[in-house]
Amino acid sequence: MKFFHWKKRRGSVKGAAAVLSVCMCLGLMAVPSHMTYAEEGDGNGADGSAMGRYVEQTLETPDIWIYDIAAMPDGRLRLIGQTKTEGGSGSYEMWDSADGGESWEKAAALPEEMNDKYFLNISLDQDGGGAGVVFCSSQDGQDFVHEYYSFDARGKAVQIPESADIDEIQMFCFGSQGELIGQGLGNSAFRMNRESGETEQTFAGPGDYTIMIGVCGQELLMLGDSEVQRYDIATGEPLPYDESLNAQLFENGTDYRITTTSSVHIVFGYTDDGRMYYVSAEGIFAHVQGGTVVEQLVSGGMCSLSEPGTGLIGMAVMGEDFYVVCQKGEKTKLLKYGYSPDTPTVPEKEVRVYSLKENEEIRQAVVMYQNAHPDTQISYETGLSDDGGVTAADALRTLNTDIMAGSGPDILVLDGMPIDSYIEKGVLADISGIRDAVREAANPFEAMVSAWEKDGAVYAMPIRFKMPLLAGDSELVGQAGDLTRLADLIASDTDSAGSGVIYPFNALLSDVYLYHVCAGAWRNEDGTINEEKLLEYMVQTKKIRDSQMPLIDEQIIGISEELAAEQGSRMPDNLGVDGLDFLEGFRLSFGEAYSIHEVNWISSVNRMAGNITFAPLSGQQSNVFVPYGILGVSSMAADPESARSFVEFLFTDEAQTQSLGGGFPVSRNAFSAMLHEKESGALGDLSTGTEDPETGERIIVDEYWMTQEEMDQLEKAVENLDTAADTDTVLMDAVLSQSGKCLNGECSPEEAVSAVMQTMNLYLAEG
Amino acid sequence: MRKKRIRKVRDWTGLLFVLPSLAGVTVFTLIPFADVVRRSFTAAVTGAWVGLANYQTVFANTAFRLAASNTLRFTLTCLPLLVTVSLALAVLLQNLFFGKNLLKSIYLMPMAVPAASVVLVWKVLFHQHGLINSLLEKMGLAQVGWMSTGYAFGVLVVSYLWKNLGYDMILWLAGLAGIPVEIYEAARVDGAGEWRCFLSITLPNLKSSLYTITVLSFLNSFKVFREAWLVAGDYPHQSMYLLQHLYSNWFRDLSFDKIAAAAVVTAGIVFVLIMLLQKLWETD
Repeated sequence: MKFFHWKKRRGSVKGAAAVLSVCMCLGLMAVPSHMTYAEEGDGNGADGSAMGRYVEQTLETPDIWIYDIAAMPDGRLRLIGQTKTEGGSGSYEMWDSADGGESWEKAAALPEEMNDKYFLNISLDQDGGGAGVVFCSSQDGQDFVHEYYSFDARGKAVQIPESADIDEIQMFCFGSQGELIGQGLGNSAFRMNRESGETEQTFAGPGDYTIMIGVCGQELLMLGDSEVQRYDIATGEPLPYDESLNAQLFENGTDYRITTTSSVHIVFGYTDDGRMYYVSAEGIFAHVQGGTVVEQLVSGGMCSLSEPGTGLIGMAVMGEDFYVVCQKGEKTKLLKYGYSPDTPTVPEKEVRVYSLKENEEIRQAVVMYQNAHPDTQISYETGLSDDGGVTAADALRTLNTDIMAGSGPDILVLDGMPIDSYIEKGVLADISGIRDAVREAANPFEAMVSAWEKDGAVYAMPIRFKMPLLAGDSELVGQAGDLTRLADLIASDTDSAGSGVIYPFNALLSDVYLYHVCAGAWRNEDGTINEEKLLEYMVQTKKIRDSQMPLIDEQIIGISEELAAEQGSRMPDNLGVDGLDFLEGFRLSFGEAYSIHEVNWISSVNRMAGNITFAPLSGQQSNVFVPYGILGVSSMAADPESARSFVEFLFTDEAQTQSLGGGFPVSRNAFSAMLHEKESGALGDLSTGTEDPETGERIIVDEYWMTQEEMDQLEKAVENLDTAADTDTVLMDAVLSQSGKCLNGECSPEEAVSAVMQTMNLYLAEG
Repeated sequence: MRKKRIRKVRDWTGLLFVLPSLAGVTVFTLIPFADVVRRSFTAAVTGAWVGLANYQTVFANTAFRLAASNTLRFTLTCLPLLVTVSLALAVLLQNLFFGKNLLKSIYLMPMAVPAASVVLVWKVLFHQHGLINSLLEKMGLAQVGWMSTGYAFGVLVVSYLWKNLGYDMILWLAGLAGIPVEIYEAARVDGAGEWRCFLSITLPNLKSSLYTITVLSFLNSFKVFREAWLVAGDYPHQSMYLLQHLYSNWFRDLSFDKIAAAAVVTAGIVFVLIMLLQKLWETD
């Protein structure tokens, strides 16, 4: 019996094993079906390499803020936009191009009385007319409302009456038969009668709310935060779920939420043969309605679409060319993507750049460099993900594995990395040749580009820097000296009752704000840590916090703790100085200035309040600069020449004048250009607001450029910066984890120092 | 002649059966280890030959000496404790009439708990403001820095024992089950008591199990690094700074030459120890 069961069991075991093996083989053969890459390389290069790809071209347009673009059936392109005028309202004009965007002619304009209206957005239909949403005050002036206008190809405009069953329309778009579709507030869209404004059809969006809508022929697309819903515009019936489109759109958890009123993160277009196109930061994609494939025609990483700060406004498809209207800063631009059969599909050269965290200036420079060098592809990758799933140490270990395997990057952005260790191990090449070239071209601040010079060789250079700054009451700023003096000044100030003398976050996080101006002083010559100086740092930062704590609002303490918990690391990316603090009654503020605008705000507040000035912040060191975007070239770079070329490019005026929050440029030329972008005392482009602490009234503050005296003061201060802040992350983590406990009263300064010394002794002993 | 042929066929057949496993061990263990030995004589990145310089650096390195002494201290503390306590539990369990299987499961459960969960429990218990300190405070006693003082070593030992007790106990139970009952019966007939039976019958018959359990427990002792690292990071209290901490930090700093040299030294010592143990067992 037992034998019979074993035989039967053995047979069934064999059968099960056979079935599982087949299943495994079938599973291994499965491939994702939603995504293919377009085989653009139709032709063959001389060496057999694939040829042909879309190339980007920036087209000259009339000097207008472009709202939309449309391709009309007669082969013309039409733009609609508002002319720019100083302080006044420009006219809304329509411009046509019959030669694919090379030249433009004014075709029509909206009535003059519309010049004062502020259009949130305007959409063009296929015939050259369109509709738009106006943002204006209500009749009683107590509220803000939306008004809707429709216009024809000649510019004749009429107001679209409001419909009782529509709360508010955010934007319009048009179906291929001229149907007017409006995106409602919340999670709905409406097909509306263009004359009467009546709702002809209502569409419900996916999920909780609709981010935006798009049209592809007779198909309405409603984009939610994790799904796109499709409808037949004519019948209102929902269309089948498009798995491949959804998979591609939301593949990487891409967030399409609209963050500005003037642009979006994705725009849709279509051609009459049923092909849908969309543009996002990842590139231009094509999809046949109802199909299973999404083709990537243009890679965002190789063109301007992935430039940080770029928003999308509209797109048009004409023949094989794509026209995309983008916003960058205060301007719009028109990009054309045309197929070039003579351009290699994949650039011949590749340079790999690696950083732990995203560096926006480098991301920007990648796009600029690739546009200027179509034969070179720059692949920029980061080690840390946004969700915090990978620690910096893990990312470094992975990077080191790649380096040892010979597949490391060509250029390393060394922020957060063990630079000294890499220099010692020979990972970094000598880039003194690049420094010489940069000296000639960019006239950099010498101390900054020589900070990592050892025995005549240069191994790393930062592309930007931040400047520790102290700002506030002239008298107090003048009295502040080193760390001890600053702490005494803050602790003994009796003039500021109520809210305290310094900005609350400066007090709550005094150890963080003062870290970079103190850390370098803790190193003895032999590399060991000076306990006395470290103890002084703990004692003085605690003194600053303790003196202000009774005056700080409980709510602010709570916010500070929440922010600290969210960030993970106690050292945030930016520790800016906010000039508005002085309008709220504070007399001192300190941080790390990273843009001209910060100093302009201090100057602007000085205009209003008076007696406000700034000076370099000193701690246990003075004249400190915080390097950012520290570049090194790998000694094992696959293409050292191309790597060096890109590094040199990063120091050109073109790259150095891009300011995206990473700090001031190390190029003296670029710094001067940014400082003198406007005349001293001129009105800037920004304005902001705060509340009067006594009356609660809103105060609007316009940005004014620094006075000549302030500009000279800033330039002189920057010229004197000669000490690079200590960037060792092990030291920083060890100190800030203990100083935080010390400031909170969880341990004494001596205990905190003891814990830090224990960690650092181990770290230094490792060699 | 025929016997010789059969034996030859059996030898080749045996080799063929072993070949896939041997290939896997060669590719994933032996060859990489040979590469590590090679790297221990070269510079980290450039690969230039440096002779014994890496070994000199490692032996002179204070962090290595500290880590090695901590690891040795940990092993010498934990192994005897684990072996004796798990044996005692196995003997007790074997003589239970009911609840045996339930108790086995309970003792084995810690092995199934993921390291991350263990770490959470550690933090809840041993944090400065954790459960144990709260209890101490309520009892009017001073709080203890469990993870920031020498007590950290004790916490590590307790964690290791807690996790591995069940596993060793099961191995002991398997060994105990292999001892013929007749020997005990014969001994009892001759008037031997429980203690005499344990010393003269149980222990000698468990020698082979002792060798296996000792070696396995020794290898498992290296896994305690997971919890230690998750709780205390790259630089824990000195008393729990183990060899793996040092290797992990050297890895971050690209000091592969030092890791290779230290790994070869460690592997050599472990190998010698195991060979000595084996010789000891064989002699007996």
